[in-house]
Amino acid sequence: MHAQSFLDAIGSAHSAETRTLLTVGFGLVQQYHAIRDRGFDASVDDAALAALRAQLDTLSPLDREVMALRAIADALPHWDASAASAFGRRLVYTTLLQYGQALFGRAAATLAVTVLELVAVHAELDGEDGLSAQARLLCGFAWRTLGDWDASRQAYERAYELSRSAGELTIAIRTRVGLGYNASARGDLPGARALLRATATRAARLAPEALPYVYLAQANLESISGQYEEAVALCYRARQAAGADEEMQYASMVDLAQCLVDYGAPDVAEKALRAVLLSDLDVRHKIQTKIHLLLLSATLRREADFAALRDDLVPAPFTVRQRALYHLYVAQGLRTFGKLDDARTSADTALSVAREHSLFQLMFQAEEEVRAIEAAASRAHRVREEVLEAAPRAPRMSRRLERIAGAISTMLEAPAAV
Amino acid sequence: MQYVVLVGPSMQRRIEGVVGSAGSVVPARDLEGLLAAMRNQDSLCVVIDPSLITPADAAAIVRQFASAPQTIVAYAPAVREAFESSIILAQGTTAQFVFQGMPNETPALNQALLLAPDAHLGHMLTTALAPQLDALPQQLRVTVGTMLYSGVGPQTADALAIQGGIARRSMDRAFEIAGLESSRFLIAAARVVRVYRAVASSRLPFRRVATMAGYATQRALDHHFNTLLGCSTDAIRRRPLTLDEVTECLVSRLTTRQDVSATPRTAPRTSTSSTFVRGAAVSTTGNTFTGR
Repeated sequence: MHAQSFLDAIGSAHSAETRTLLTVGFGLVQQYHAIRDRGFDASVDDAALAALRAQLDTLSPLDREVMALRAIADALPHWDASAASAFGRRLVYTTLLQYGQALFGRAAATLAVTVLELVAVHAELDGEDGLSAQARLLCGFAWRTLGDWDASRQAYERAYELSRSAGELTIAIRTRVGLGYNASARGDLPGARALLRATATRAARLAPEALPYVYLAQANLESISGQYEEAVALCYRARQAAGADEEMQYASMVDLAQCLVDYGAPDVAEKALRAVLLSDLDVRHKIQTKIHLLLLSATLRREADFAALRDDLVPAPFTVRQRALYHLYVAQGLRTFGKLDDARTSADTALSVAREHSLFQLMFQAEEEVRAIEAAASRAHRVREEVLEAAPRAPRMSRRLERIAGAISTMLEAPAAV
Repeated sequence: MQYVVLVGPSMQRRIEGVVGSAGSVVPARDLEGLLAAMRNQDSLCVVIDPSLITPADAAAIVRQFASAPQTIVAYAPAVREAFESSIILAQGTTAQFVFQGMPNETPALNQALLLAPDAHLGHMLTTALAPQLDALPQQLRVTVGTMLYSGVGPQTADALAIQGGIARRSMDRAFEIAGLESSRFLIAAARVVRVYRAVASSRLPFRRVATMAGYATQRALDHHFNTLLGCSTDAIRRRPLTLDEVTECLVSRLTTRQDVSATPRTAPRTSTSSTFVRGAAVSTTGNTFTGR
């Protein structure tokens, strides 16, 4: 089954780079099967792995997928190492699981499911219930991305059973969060709300580490329901519950900024993103935050800030997705400022990058942007006027939001608190 | 508790955030500093990023561990630089591994740091049970030995059988022949080894300890302590048992008889055993005697 998925993906790849990535991925999964069946044989496997590594050397080393594939290639020789404690196997499963996660970055959810189900089944056969539960949890997410609710529910439920038997209560809570997302994505908002409320109570009692995930899911639900203030408050609560988890701090601050924009307070959102930049994030997250700021500066009609961020990001070591997103946001910003020719160039670049790497969602957005630019060009003289009319007007903030905005300003003044 | 760390600055901040007021985090300048701390201090938790050390450094840590066992946590990204050293640490120590970027990274790190088991307790227990463990098939022996030593391992009897490379029934028979109690007792004992230090000498609330260790309720944790050590978690915190006492309690509870060469026991299990199974968090799977 996995072979067919990979072959289909390779066949429909739009660029040489994507084809290489998929070919190496397929090669490594085949290699994994062979090593799992007969053990690692240096005389055969070393040469095959070296050939796959050589192909990876031609690709951007910072790409998450490339890093994950390299890790698999480096972990496979250790498959039989420390056989009694099964550490080598765990290492290989870990790297395969990270590859499955990386595939989401390229919107290759079908392939992600293929790899993750492989890990889930094999880890369970090896008695690694914890790893299998994690793989199933990610499968549930991947199936939801693909719109297969039933498969998603089954994956989450199996993940729940496995995580309970493995004593992984945080994963168990996250499976309930996943089911909550499923319900809200299907339009069952009351059901989702009830499930998430019950999950929040359980998380507070059993796994406080999972609380930020529950709060962010609740924020997403409130945002869908148009309760933006509640959504902002929940994102802020998630940020507070994240503790020392930098990844979760980042996720909650970005969601907080998004909810603040939805609420109509983009200036506070900008502060939140600038506070994120002050923390010690890795390069990938910093670039992503700057890309968000770029879009926000266009929304706030700050042309100088927009130009500065655009130039600042030019030499950044983008991932493929970030490159497409950057050009798309630059196009949107330039259209906002009435520079339609430059906007068209950027939108075309975004479209070609997205098409080349099969980033379908971004591809649709870029096509939409091209249409918007064309429409604007046909009535160019009215654009600026319309844009100004559409400029967001911040509603009067409630006390609760004022407190949150104040806390965000404090983060900017005292970076250590971020 | 003291945490001696040899990690990068961002990892150190993360560790400090997790440990909070439960202990002090002391950065080691280099490998020599780390080895000196392992040599000179009796009870500490060593946290290493395997991607920052060479295989030779890892071998030096293994040698130090062999002479004086300490709790080791390896916290690393899943990259090639970390693999060689990780393998050496996995083969020669009871290090717990936490990989960055995994869905369970945060709880796994919390568990590894806050429930860092007492390496001496694991060492004493496996030494005391050596005659019984030696009677087990090789892979099962290593799996059970590692589980009792580090407190980390399979959480169900089925998972233990799979990791031990043996069928479930054969495993039960092997334990019986070796003079060991059932797999559930062994799994519960490993969990007690895991949490004993946190229960006896930390200030963590019992409920937090219980949930971090994978118990659904604090009562289940208490039940294990009562069954295996004969006193509640509360009593242990008021008056901690010495490691010798803990080992003695566990050994007497885990062994069914002294003479491992005698014929297998065929008498029905004691009532304690069935009481123990009820309400324990680990008993959710593996009950094969349901008649269905």
